[in-house]
Amino acid sequence: MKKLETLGEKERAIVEERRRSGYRVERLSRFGGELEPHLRALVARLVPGVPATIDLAAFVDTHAEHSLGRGDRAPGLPAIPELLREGLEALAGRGFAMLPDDQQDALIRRMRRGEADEELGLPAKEFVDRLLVKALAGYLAHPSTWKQIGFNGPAYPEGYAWISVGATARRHEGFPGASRL
Amino acid sequence: MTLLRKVPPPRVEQLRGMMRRHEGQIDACIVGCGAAGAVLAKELSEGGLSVVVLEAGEWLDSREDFVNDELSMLGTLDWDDLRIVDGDDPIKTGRVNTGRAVGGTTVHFTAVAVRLRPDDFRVASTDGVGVDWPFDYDELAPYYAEVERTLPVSGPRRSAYPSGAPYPHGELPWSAKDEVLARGLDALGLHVEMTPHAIATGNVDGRSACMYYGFCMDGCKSDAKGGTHVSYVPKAIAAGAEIRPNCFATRIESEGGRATGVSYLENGEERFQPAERVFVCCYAIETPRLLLNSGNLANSSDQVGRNLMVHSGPIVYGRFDRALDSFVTPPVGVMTMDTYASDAKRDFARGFWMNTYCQFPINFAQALVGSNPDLWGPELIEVLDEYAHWGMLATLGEVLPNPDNRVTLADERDDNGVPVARVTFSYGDNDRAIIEAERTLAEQVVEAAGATRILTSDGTHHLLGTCRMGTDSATSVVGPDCRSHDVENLWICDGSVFPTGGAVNPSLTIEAIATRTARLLLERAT
Repeated sequence: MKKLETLGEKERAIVEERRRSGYRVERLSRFGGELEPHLRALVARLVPGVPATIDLAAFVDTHAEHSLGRGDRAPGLPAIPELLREGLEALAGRGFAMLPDDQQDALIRRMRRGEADEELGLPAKEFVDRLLVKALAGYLAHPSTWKQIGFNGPAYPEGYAWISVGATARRHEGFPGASRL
Repeated sequence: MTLLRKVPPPRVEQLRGMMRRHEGQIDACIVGCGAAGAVLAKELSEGGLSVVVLEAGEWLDSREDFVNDELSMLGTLDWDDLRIVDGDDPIKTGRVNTGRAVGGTTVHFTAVAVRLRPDDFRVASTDGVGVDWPFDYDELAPYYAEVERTLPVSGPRRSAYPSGAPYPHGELPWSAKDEVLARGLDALGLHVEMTPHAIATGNVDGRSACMYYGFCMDGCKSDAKGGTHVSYVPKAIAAGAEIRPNCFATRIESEGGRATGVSYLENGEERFQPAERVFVCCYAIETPRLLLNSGNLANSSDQVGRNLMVHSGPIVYGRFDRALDSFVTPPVGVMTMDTYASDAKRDFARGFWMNTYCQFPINFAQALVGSNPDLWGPELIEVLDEYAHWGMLATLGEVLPNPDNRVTLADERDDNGVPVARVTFSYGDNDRAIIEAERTLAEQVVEAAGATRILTSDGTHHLLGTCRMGTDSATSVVGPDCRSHDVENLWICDGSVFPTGGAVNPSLTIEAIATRTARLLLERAT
C-alpha cells in the first residue's frame, strides 16, 4: 500500500478507521442474541482464516441494509435484511454453531448448490449467497486484506507508477508470491 | 493561436453558482442527466432553447465526493432501488448496468468508447435476424466523430475496424495484463489493438490527463474520464441550461395527445415543470417504467417495455505465475473484434467482442462466488490471496431482440408509492450459442497466454431496447429522430431506442444519437 501520508484526506481517513475498528462493535444490533453464534460460525466457515482484528460478522450485521450496489430481487423474495434473518433463524433451529465442522460444511455446500431450499424451508441459496458477498465486501475492503492479496488500495492523488510487465515484476520482488515469478 | 486552458475545471459548487434558473414554461424538460440527457442539454441550450434537466441522483463533485475506495462508492453511484427480476435468466441490476447521479451511468462506466459497426445497422437484411435500424452507419458517423472530440476519446492512430481512428487523444498505455493476454490472442491469430476510451490522455479544458488511479468505476477523481458530468454538463450550464439534482420524475403529464410537462418529487415535495417539449432519457428500465406510470403514454404500438436486450458477458479469469497488478490502469485494456460479425463457419448469427479487463477485489470476489457454487472457504481464500496474479478476459455478446423480454410494472411500490419495474428476461437459442462460443474462445486465449488455472463468471452488461426506434408506428415507439409516434412533443432518447444492441458498450452510440436528435429538432425548429 502507498504510505498513508501520500493519500488524499478522505482515503486516509477510511484506511485509518478500518484499521482502528476492524468493523468491531460493542454488540450486534440486528443479529445479536441467539442468532449471533450461528452467524459467527457461518461466516468463519465461508471466509476462513480472517485475522482476529477484523470482525466480519459485525460487518454483516451493520451492513445488512447496504445494497452493495444491487437492487434486483426475485418475485416473492423478502428484503435482504429479512432474508438474512430468516436464514440465520433456520440455522439456529438446527443448532448450526454446535455442529462439527464437516457437517457445517456439508450444509453450506448444499445451500450454495441450491440443494437445501426445501430442507431449510426458505431460499437458502439466495440467503447464503447474499451473506457470503456481504462478508467478502467487508473482508476485501480492509487494508490488512489488501496487503495480504497484493492489492495496493487507494491511488489518489499520486497514481500508480508501475504499469508494464517489467515494472510490475520489480514491485513484487520481496513479496511472498515473488518466488513463483 | 489559442491558449491552452490550464486552470482546473469548475467544481460543482462553482457550476451551481453560475447556473441560470428557469421558471414557468420552458422549451425543453429533460428527464435524466446521463449519457443522453446531458448531451441533449448542451446541444439544445446551445441551440437557443431554455432547458431544465431533472436528475433523480445527486450532483457529485469528482474531487470532493468520489473516493478511491470500492466499498464507499458501492450504492453511492448506482441505481440500486428495488426491481423485480424474473424469466429464465433474471438480470442483476445496479452497479453492473445503471447509475444514479448527474452524469448517470457515465459516472461509473469503464469509459469504453467503441462505435457500432456498419453491419450492426442492418442485421435483418444481411444476417436474417432482428430488425434493421432506420438509418445506417454513415448517417451516424459524423455525430460519432463530434462526440469523440467533445469527450474526448483516446485510442489508436490506426485501427483494423470501422472506428474513429485516428482519435483526438493518443491511446492508453498497455499494462501488464494487456501484454500477457495479447500473447494468447496472438497465438489464436486474433488481431489486437488498444480499446478506445472516453479518457483524456492529455490536458483538455483544464481537466487532468489520465493518472492511472484504476478506480474508474468508483468515479474518476482526475476528471480525465469523460463522464457527461465533466464533459457535457459544464458546457450545458455555460449555454444556460439548468440541472436539478435529487428530482425524481413520477409522471409525464399530457393533454389532448400532447405532453404538458413533468411531475416530480424534489426531496419529497411534489412539483410540476411545464414544458413545450419533454425528453425521457432514463435508460432501458426507468424510461419504460416512467411511460407506463404516465397512463401508458406513447404506447399505441404496445412496444413500450418490449425487446429488452443486454450484452451477454462471460468473463474468463486466468491465474498467471507472474503478478499482473491489473488494477493499475483503466479496467478495459486491449481488444479484438475479429469475432464480432456473423461468420459462416459458426452455427449462430452475429457474434461478440473481447477485451482484457480488471475487477477490483470486491467485484472480483462477488462475480466469482456468484457463478461458482463450490467456491467458498479455503479454496476461495486461495484464489483471493493471488488476486494480483489473475488476468481477466471479458466478452460482450450480442443478444437478439425478443418481444417477450420486457419491462412491465410490478405489484411492489417504491418509497414514494410509485410501482417499480418488473424485468423479465430469458436468453434465446442464438444468444446461448454465442455465450458458449464466447466462453470457449476466451478460455483458449487465456490458456494460450500461459494461465496455470482458469475460472469463469457469467453475467450481463448494459440495458437496451424497450422503446424501439423505427419508421412504422405499429411496430416501434419512436421515429428515426427519437420523437414519439404518438405524442408529437415527446422524445425518448437513450439506450432504450436501440432496435438491436450490437456487441459494444453503448454510451458512445447513445451520445451520438442524442447529438443527432438535438440537431434534427433544431433544424426543424428554425
